[in-house]
Amino acid sequence: MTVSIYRLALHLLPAKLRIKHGASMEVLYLRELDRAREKGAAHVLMTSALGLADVMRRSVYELQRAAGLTINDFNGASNRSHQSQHLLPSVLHSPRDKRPMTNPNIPLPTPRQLLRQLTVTFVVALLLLTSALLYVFGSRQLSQLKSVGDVATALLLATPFTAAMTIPMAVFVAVIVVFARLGKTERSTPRSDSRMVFAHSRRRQCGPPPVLQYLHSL
Amino acid sequence: MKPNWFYILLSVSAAPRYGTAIQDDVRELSDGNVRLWPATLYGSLEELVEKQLLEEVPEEERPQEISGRERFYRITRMGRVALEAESSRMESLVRATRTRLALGES
Repeated sequence: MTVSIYRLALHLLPAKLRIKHGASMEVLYLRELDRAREKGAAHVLMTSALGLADVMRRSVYELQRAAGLTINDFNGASNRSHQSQHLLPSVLHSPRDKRPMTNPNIPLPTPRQLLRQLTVTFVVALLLLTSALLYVFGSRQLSQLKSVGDVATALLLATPFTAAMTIPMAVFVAVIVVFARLGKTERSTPRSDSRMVFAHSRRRQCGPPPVLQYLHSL
Repeated sequence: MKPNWFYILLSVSAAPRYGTAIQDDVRELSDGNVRLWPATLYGSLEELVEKQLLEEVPEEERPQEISGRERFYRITRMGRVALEAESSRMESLVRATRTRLALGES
C-alpha cells in the first residue's frame, strides 16, 4: 500500500527523472522501510511519510528549477570566497546552463496525456491531503474514543466527508502542477510547434475580429 | 555548494559508486547526520551530471563484481576542482572560526 502511494507520488517528479531513476528510488525507499521495520511501527510510519515528503519537496524544487527560479547555490557559495571564485570552473556558468533543460523538439502533450497527468496528480494530492486531515482528526479524537474499534469506525465515517472537503484543493493542486509542467514544455518548444501559439498567430494573420473591422470602417 | 552535492562528490571522489552505495557512504561520512532520501539523491545525481561535475560510467567500464542494472557515477575533472575549491573554502572558514574563538577566550 505504502509503496503504491510512493509510486503514484513519483508521478509528481519530471518524467525524465522518473523514467530513469523511478525503479531505483522505489528500491531505496523499500530498503529504508525495511530498516525502519526493525525499529517499530512508529518508525515505519515516519519513514513512509518522510519518503513521500521528499518526493513532494523534490517535485517542487524541480518545478522551480524548470522555471529558472532556483538560485545557483554553488555560485552563492563561491561569492563568499574570492579564492573559490577564482578556482571555480567556468562550467558552472557555461552556456549549457542557459539552454532549456528539455529537448526543444518535444511536442505538446495530447489532451489524453494531459487528462492522464491531471488524474494522477489529482489522485496523489487527494490521497495525501485526505490522509493528512484524517490524521489530524484521528489524533484529536483519540483521547475520547475508548477502543480501537471506535477509532476505526470514527475514521471510516469521517473519510467520505474529509475526502469531499479535499477534492477542490486536490483539483487546484493538480491543475497548478500540470499546467506548470505544460508551461515549462511550451517555453522550451519552438513556437511554431505550439498549437495554442499557432492559433494566436493565425488570428493575428487574419486581422482583427469582424466586429472591430466593421467599427473601423465606420 | 549544497551539502548534498558536497557529500555526493566526496563519496564518488575515491571510486565510482551507484545510488545505494552513495547513500550508505554519505551516511557513514556524515556520522549518520546526512540522510539522502531517494528523490533527493537521484535528483541531485542528475543535476550534478548536468553541471558536468559527475558522469555516468559506461556499461563496459562498470566494476565486474557488481552484476545488476545499477548506474555508476564517477567524478569528473571539473567535479574534482569544484570539490577542492569547496574544501579549501571550508578550511579557511574553520581556520577563521578557530582564530576568533581563541581571541574570545584570551
